[in-house]
Amino acid sequence: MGNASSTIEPEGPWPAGLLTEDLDLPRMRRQRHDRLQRQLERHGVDALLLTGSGAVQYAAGPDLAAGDAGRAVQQRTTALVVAGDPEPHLLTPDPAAAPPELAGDHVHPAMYLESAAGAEDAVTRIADLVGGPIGRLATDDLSMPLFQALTRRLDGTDLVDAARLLGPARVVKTPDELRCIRGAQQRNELAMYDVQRTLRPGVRQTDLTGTLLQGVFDRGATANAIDPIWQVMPERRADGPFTTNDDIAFPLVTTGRRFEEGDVVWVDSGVQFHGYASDFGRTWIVGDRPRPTDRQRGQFDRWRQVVLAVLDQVRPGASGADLTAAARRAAGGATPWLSHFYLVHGLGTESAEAPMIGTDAGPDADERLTLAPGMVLVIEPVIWDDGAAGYRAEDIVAVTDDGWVALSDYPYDPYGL
Amino acid sequence: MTDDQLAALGVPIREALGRIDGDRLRADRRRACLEAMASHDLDALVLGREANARYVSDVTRLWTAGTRPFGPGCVVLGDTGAVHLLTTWDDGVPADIDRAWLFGITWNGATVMANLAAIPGLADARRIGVDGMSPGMARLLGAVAPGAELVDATVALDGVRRVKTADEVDCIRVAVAVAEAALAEAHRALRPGVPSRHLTGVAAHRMARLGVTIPDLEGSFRATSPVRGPVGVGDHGGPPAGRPEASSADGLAAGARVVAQVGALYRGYEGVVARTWRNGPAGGGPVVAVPADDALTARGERLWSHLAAACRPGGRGRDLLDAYGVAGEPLPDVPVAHGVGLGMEPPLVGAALPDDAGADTELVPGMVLFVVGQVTGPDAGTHLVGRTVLITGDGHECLDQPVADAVGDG
Repeated sequence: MGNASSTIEPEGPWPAGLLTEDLDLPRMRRQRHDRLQRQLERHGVDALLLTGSGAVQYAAGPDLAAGDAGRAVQQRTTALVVAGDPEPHLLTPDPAAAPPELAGDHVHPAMYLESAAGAEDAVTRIADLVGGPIGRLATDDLSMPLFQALTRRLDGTDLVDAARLLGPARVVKTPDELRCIRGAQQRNELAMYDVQRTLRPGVRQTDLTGTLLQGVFDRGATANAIDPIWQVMPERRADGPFTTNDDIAFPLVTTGRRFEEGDVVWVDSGVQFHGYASDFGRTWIVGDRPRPTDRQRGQFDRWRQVVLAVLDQVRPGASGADLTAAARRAAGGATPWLSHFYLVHGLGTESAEAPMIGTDAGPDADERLTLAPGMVLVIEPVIWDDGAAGYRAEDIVAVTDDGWVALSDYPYDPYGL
Repeated sequence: MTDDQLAALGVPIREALGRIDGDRLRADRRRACLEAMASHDLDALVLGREANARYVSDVTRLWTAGTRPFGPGCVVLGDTGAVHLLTTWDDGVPADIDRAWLFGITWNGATVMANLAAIPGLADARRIGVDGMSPGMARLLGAVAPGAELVDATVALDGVRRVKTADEVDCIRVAVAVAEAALAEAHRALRPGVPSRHLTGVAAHRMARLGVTIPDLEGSFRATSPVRGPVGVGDHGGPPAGRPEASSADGLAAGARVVAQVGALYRGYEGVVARTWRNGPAGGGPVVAVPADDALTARGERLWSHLAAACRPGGRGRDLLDAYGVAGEPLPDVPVAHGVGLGMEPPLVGAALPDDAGADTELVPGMVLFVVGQVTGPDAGTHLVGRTVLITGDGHECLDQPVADAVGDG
């Protein structure tokens, strides 16, 4: 691992601009807005009202401090995209968070959506900003006061789910979006070198969290997106928590538990860079000089075979079902992923978004999904040998015109290749 | 998290940890929720907001930043008191919640519907309280409980969450102490040129070493600039009057007045602390943070004395707005106060907020508020102090360290 890390370790303590030389944030926001406008037109929707953190980030790109959901709900930042409008509206308690190029008449004080009077005022302001009749309004996550005020005040307005517009717009990334995802992933991975070096018996799970967070912020990550996971896996599934689906319980919440020699640790974390998420997944073994057993090395080899088989199918025009079939063939007919998750998920302003492949939405959904250039695939097979735990990791690629390009680049130590 | 890591915070916090009775905390909240359902004539709750789900169930689920789309994360039946939870495992689920009441993660709309339909009593509910809504969920709940009227559950839940039990106050004491420790560590790392993000990392690192990895608010360290007059149309690129600038990767300048704010969640309860620092002497020199001991600080202290006087039982949220007027200070555009509980919660009091968000709310013993005193000067930037205050029978108790003793102003 030392060699791998030395090739990409930054020279200074606070490096700026890692791999972002060509990143053009105003261009990225303009292209996202154009995509949303096309979706508004296609669905005959007059305006898109967004309150969910990831959706607002996609539509309007605010630079907001990360926080708990309660804070985000009480101090809502909202985006309103009006059909035909050259820019989105951003309604926020922190106007300094607005993108610098966004016109001043599109930046507004926040709406308060948690009280009756606040919701009434919000509907008035939404109607004013739209400026004309609202036949169809697409929305995501509404407070109940706002839902009630909208349905009462906008009689005749058809409310539709924003996901129908956001999904098709977001699923294919622009080059700038890919740079942001790569930037998030690289910062996450660089910090993980620091973390993995500290993994020893006696160290607590939460200690790793502290090292990771200090590392990602020093490398320019803009937020942490998820409580990092350092789950010690039991040898047998039955020794872990009860599950509703008889599968392996993962991911479990991090505690102050101390690691012990030989623990098999499934690692999962995600940070943000300009609103885009990373997704880091690896399996580590605790020890001063950890060496996997032959059986553990075999698990990794089987995991790697599944990933290679999936990657062999990744090209424009392939279906999600092509990927699940390849994974099962490589796993000897077994289904090598967690039944409550997926073989593959996408990545963007959400840490798990479309395309999702291998979910309980069923084989038909996988069959209907067609890969296209610009899609991001987080491939996360799981190999489990009950009695000897298992191996899980995540590799990220973007679909290109004729195949794929890797967005993640972290060694598999101590399993190795 | 393990509480032995928190013992490093000192005797008062060890005593608070010793007083917290987790079973009592859980039972008190559950009972309060079921009583509120009865008094608001709610047969069932379908909750999507994690703080509400946590209040009624005490479940600990994976934390992610920001909001999640509204969906059925927790379903409560008034008749039986059954608490059904969206989780694929029982890790983090209190023992008093039956395994049969757990329903797993799914990506299939038909399965969501089947899971809800399988919850005994939900289909027959007449009035269901929800804490969010989307067009799709309105259709889904309409199909699961065709006769039910959907009403706002937050009216009932905010009512019972507002007044804290002694256990809840102790949880908030611990969370505040965690945030203070994180802020103190960031203060030790303050120096001319340090990027604000480095301080965010320092604060997060300190929290994690105490066993707390969930931020209420990621550490925010903003250099404030002089007031430049009202912000007009097309001129939002600079900070509005007296507002802190967005965090800068270029580093916090020597001499800058830095508004520092950190929030932590302990057992879901919010501890948030805000102070204002001076970043070393202007022009370099010794790398020492000194108190911002100028006229602005004196105005801030005078404002605080008026705010403190308004923190008393029988008062209203609007008294905190009036305190600014009495002190001769203009109202800031940030909230002057918010409720502290399982994260940020109502009441919210501020110049830009409707009266029914919090100005109308009566202050009663057991409420906990985060109160903000902010003053700005034409040449000095912003001085902001935010303190956590428990309303008591005859006034209030500050749950954080005195400003003079903490690492804020002298």
